[in-house]
Amino acid sequence: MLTVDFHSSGDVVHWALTDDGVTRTVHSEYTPTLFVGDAVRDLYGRRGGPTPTPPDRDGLSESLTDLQAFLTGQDAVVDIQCEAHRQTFRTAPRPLLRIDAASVDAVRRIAQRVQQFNGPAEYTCYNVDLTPQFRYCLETTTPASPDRSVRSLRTLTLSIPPHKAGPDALSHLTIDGDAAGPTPEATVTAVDRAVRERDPDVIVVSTAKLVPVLFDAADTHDVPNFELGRAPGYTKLAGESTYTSYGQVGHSPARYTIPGRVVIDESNTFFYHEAGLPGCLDLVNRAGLPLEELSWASIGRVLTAMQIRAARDRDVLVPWQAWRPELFKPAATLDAADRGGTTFAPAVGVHENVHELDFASLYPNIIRTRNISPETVCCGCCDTNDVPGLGYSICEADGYLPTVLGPLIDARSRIKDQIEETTDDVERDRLDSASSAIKWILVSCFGYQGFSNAKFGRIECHEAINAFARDILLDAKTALEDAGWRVVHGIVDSIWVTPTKDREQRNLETVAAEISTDTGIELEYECAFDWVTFCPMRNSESGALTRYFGKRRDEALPVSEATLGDAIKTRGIEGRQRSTPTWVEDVQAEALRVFDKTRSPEAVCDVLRRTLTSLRNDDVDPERLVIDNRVSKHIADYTHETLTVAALKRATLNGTGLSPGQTIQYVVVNNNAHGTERVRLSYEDITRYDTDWYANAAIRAVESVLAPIGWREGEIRDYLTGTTDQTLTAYSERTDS
Amino acid sequence: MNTSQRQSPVELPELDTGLTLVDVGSDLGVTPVQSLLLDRVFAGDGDAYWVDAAGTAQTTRLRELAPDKRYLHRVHVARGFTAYQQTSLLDRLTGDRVTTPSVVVATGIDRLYRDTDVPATHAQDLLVRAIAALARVARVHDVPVVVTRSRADEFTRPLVNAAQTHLQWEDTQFGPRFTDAAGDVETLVYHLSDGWVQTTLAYWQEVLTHRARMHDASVVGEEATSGSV
Repeated sequence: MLTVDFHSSGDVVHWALTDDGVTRTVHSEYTPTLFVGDAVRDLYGRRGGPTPTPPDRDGLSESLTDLQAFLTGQDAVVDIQCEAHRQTFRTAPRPLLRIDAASVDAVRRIAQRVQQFNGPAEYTCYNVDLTPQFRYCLETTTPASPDRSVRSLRTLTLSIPPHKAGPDALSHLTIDGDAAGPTPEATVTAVDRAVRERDPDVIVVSTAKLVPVLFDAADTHDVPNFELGRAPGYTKLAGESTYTSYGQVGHSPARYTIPGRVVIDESNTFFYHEAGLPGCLDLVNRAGLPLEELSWASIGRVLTAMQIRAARDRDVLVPWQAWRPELFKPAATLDAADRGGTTFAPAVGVHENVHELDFASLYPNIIRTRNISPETVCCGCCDTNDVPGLGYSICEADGYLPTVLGPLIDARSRIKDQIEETTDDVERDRLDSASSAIKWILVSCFGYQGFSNAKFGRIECHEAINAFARDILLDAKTALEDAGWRVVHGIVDSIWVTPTKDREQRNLETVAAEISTDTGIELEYECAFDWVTFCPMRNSESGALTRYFGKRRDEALPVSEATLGDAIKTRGIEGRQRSTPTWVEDVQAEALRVFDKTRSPEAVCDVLRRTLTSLRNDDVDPERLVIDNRVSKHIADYTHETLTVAALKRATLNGTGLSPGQTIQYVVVNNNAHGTERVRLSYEDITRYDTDWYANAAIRAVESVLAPIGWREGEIRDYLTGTTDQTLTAYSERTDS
Repeated sequence: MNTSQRQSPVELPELDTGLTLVDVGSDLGVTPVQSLLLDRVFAGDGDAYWVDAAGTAQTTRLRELAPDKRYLHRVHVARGFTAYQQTSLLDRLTGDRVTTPSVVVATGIDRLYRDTDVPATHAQDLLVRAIAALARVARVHDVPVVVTRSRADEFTRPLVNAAQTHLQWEDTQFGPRFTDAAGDVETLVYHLSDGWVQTTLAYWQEVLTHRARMHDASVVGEEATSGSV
């Protein structure tokens, strides 16, 4: 299917692709279903241990019978029966109330009534908060993917620049990149025509707010029969909202949909940004989450969709609320479990002849090879000591989580092989998109196990995965040391080694292969470095765990200046951060080139001196000074008057306020000024910049390169101002020794 | 609450069976409550059970406070990360797996019910239910139950009403002090004659080491602490 519309009458309209358009099918009989079980204490309360042991019964309990009587005949309820299903992965099917609701909206209303009936925590509800299209696919066994064997999807992109707002904004609208019209009226007419002519299946909008804005403008300017969808009108699915969860303030923008077409909101999509439409469609197929819902879904929601499908295969219902608590454990165990990933503190400075080895998809592979799943860890039926350091048991029976992640791990490695083999650029792009979408799911599956509101998450899984990861990394370290290699740094799934002095080394790839066999997870040889430099923390001499750079042995530096190509790998330093202005990035790149060539802090500082001179002579194009920041929260939620806040305020002042998830671009013009005067937004006319502020930024970027060899900001400034007297320094060193 | 000022220069309130609400200034967080918990472990035969909803159950501080690491095996911790998990955990305290506790602690009992994913009326119902569950724990196991809240306001008034004892922890110029909100009884933890208000980790380590000795409970590394208490 392509998409599904839900009418308040309860009718459901199902749209599917045909070779020249779409078919529209109305299902008036569709009734979404939820389930209600007994009090939570039967599962996790007094009877709760590793294995819930609810009391046996044949039919409905008295309390469920009461509820049935209360709900029978209510408008929201179409049918209500007794049906047996499993409430958890560790319990057998039990007779529960099955309630068929009049519409998707009625589901939540019913659940809320259940919650209010007969005291809190008297009932547990299931299959309540599924997104409507996903629910429809599940309950009617409809494939979530559009059938692209019929034809490929047609898309239309409508954009307005993020800094344009208000009634005039429509004059700046583009249709697939082309200006739509000089006036709002012309724009609406052009959009209407484009939609009719192109008959798109997917409309990508730069912001979902465009949907009501276009309809309103059509109204204002009397554009007859204006439509975006394949039937009249549009629907607001969710209002803009701010919420608190576990002490954190979050924000979600409004969502809109239109009949018969998928809306993708570029200001509210993770996967479309990361993987494009092909990657999204690939994921729709794997996760069974329909395209429109996947487009705004978080990684966790997609992973949850997969888990829900796996649970359904085992007749397990989806709990509404996260009732399942962690087990009581001795503080001593919690102390061991709470340590997080293992890291070996890196030795600050330059290391010659370094090799990097990485465990491939470490966390997902631990889950898979160690059978980690919410229902297998501390299972209660096996009395074994399986998790290193924690003593938790892991059940012999196959867990469901490995069956969810296994196919993803395999698919990703298959796709990686195909990327290596293919010579077709279009094909490579498609594969890259698919790979990137899957990568995010795999990267997040570990953290999501510990997320409090995860549908099937469990903290003990999270702890077990961590414990195995520590064990594996430590075993690898020992094996490498036994083979004559010294570990200079290790973090979670990566290890850096260099030959131990005065020892013979066994071949690294052989050792890695042995470790792979022993641990059951492939330790890949990543690459050789001529040198690697580990940086100290900004305000300490200790090594920072994720700030380093190194020269790859097999890659030459590009001839053109100021770019590094793949020759120098950097992590955690300015050049890697998206907010860093191009100009600062270039200063750092040049510093790294000179550092590679000379290892001389003086030579690097000479580069800096030249760049600062041109900065002070106003020779730098302000475009190269633009700071690009992703807005992480609402302006009111920021507690410090940062430059980003100043820029956000300036945008609001211009009537172009930004929502979290969007990016703000600005140049610092006077850091000492007040409020919005500190910055100019990138689309404004920028004739000056704050020389001192950018000079400091450049010095910090160079400090990142030189700090590992002992040159901090002070030394750099001294050298720049020429107060460092070489002779004097040399003299004092001599007298000290 | 009883105090026995003459027994020892280092005092902690003696906890009675039933609910004791402890309000602690936020800068010290959970340390005074952890100290009460450990004190019961020194004195009692049973283990301590701690349900945390305040996100304060990091074991680092507990490990630092305990005069002997072996006490960490006698403190059983479970953390509620959602209002619903916490509700389950409080029920579990009267389940088969919790046997003869010496003390039960519930920190930040109201906190998760304040999350906006819990509807307001439902939140109040759940809080009242949580208080009832704790009262039941005290009754079933005949033990003291120490409760803390994240905020003193109308929402947590049922807790004040339900608690037999309401202690306020405060810092005075003579040292930290627990005051009974209902009346006149107070416990000065440790009289600091020089007027220097000590609220550091070292201070509490010293208090607990002394309390452990008082109860003839195990203390390691005695040589490491100053012998002047």
